[in-house]
Amino acid sequence: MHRQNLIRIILLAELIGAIVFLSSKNAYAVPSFERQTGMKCTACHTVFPELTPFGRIFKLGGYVFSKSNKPYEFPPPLAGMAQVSFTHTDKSQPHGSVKDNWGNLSNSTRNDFVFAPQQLSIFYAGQIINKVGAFAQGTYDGTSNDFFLDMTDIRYANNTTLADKNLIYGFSINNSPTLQDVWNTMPAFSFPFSISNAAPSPAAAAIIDGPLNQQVGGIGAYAFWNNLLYGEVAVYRTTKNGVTKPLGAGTPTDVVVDDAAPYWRLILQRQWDEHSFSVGTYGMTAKIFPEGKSSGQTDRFTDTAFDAQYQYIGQKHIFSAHTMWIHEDQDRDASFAIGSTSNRSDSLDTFRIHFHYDYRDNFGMIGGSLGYFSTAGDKDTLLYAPGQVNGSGSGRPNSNGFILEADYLPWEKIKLSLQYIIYDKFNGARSNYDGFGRNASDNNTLYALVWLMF
Amino acid sequence: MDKKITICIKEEHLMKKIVEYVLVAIFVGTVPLLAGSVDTGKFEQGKNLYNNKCQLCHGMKGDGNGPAGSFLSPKPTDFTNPKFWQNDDEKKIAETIMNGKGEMPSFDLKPDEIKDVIDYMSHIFKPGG
Repeated sequence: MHRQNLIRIILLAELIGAIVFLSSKNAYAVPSFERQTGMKCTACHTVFPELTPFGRIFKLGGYVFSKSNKPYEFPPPLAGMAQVSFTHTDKSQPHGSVKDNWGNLSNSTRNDFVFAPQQLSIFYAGQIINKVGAFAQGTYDGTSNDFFLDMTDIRYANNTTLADKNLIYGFSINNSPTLQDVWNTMPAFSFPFSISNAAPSPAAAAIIDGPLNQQVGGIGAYAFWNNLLYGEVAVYRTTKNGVTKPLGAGTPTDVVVDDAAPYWRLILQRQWDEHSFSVGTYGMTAKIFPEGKSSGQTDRFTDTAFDAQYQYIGQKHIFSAHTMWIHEDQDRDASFAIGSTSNRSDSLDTFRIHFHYDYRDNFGMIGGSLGYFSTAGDKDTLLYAPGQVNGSGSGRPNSNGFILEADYLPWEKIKLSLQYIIYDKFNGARSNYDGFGRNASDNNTLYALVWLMF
Repeated sequence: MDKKITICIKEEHLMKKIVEYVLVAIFVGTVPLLAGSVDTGKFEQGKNLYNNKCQLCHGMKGDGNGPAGSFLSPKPTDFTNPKFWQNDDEKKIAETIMNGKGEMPSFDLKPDEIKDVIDYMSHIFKPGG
C-alpha cells in the first residue's frame, strides 16, 4: 500500500515537473483564453480566479475577444487544471467519513489526507463561433472519485450603444446559478476559491449558495450599460430530466426543482483609475421537492441577497474587499407534512466578508486573505438533527469563524495556497455541537493546495 | 410617303439617342454607386473590427475610456486627441496593431483588415478627419 502511494506521488511529481517545465519555456504557454487573446493572465485576473475589470468585460463579451479575425478558434480552445492538496483537521474523523479511493492517500489517523489529485479538469474555454463562446469544465473529483460536467457557461454576446453609451448584451446558458456573474462576491466564484473536500463543513447553505450547482440548467438574458449598470434575468429547471439534463451530466440530481426557478441580478459599478467599486442585489425563488422525492408537494425557497466589492489594482499592489449577505425564507410545508422538519417555515442568513492583498514583482505574486463567515437560522430539531461530526445536537444551523489564507504564485498559472479555517461555532454550538462530544474547534482545518492551470 | 419615312427615321434616331442617354446616365450613376458600396463595405469591415477588437479598451467614441480600459496602465490611447494623429502616421498605427504595445496584444490581422480599421478610426475619431 505504502509502495503504491509512493509510486503515485513520484508519478504526480513528474507530471507537475513536466507541466512547470513546459509552462516556463513559453511566456504565452497555455490557458486557452491567453492563447486566444494574446494577453497575459493578469489582464483578466488579479489572482485567479478573481476577475479584473478587463476580465469582467471579456466574460460578459461572451469569451470571444480574440487577437485574430477568424470566425472560430483553431485549434479548439482547450485548457487543463490540476489540484493536489493536503488536509489536516484538529481532530480525527470517524472511519469511513472520507472515502478511500484513487485520489486519496490518507493515513490511518483519519485527520491527514492527501488528495493527488484533488481535482483534474479539462476546459473548453473560448470562442466557439463568431459571437458565441463558452467556459465549459469537465472534472475528475479525486475526493469522490467521480467524473462530471462541472461549471459550464455558454453565451452569445454583442455590443451596441444606448443613449450614446456602450451597451453589452447577451444570453447565457449555464448549470449553476451565479456562475454567469462577473463580480467575485457571488457564491459560484467567491472566496475561499478552493476548500478541502475532506474536512467537515457546516450543514446549512442557502439554495443559491451552492446546493443547486449542476442540479439545474438555465438560460438568462443580461445587459451592461455604460460600464455602470448591470441587470440580468434567468430561469432554471432541474437537470433530472428534459432539455437541461445534459447540463447535469455525471452529477446525481439530489435537489429536484419543480417547474422554473426565476433568478435576477442588478448591480451598480463605478470605475476610476485603478479603483472599482460595485454594490448590488440578486435573488432566486425555487420550488423544491423534499429530499428523496421528485413528485407531489414542494417546499418553496426564496433567497434575497446584497453584495459589494471594492478593487484596487496597481502595478505592484492589489487589494480587494468583498462582502455578501443572503437571506433565505424557507416554506417547508411539504417537508413538514412528511415529518422531515419540525417547523412549517424556517429562515437562514448567510454573511461573508473577505479582504485580500497581493504584491507582485519579478519573483511572482505573494499575498494573503482574511475572511469571516457566518450562517445563522431558526432552530429546527428534525432538519438539523444530531449526528456524528456533521449533525447538530442543538437543532440549530449556526456556524461562524475565520479563514486565513496565504498565496504565492511563482508563475501566473501556478498558485500555492496555505489556508486555515478557524471555527468559533459549528452546526449550532462551540462544544459538543453534534451531540457526540465533538467541538467546533475540532474541525479547524489546515489546507495546503497546489493549483496548476495549463 | 417620303415624308413619312423621314419622320420614322427621325423618331428612330431620337429613340436611339434617348436609349443612349439613359444607358450613359445609368452607367454614370451606377459607377459611383458601385464605388460607394465598395467603400461602404470596407467602412463596415473597419467598424466591425474596431468594435470587436478595439472598443473594449479604446471605447466606442475612441476616447480611451472603453469599459475594460480604465485600470490599464498606461491608459488606452485617446484617438480623439489631435496629438495622436500628429505623432502616429498610418504606418506606425499599423505596426502597433501588428506588434502590440504595453498591455495591448499584437493582433493577427491581414494587411487589408488593418488598413480598414485605421481608415475607420481616421474617419470617425480624427479631429477634422
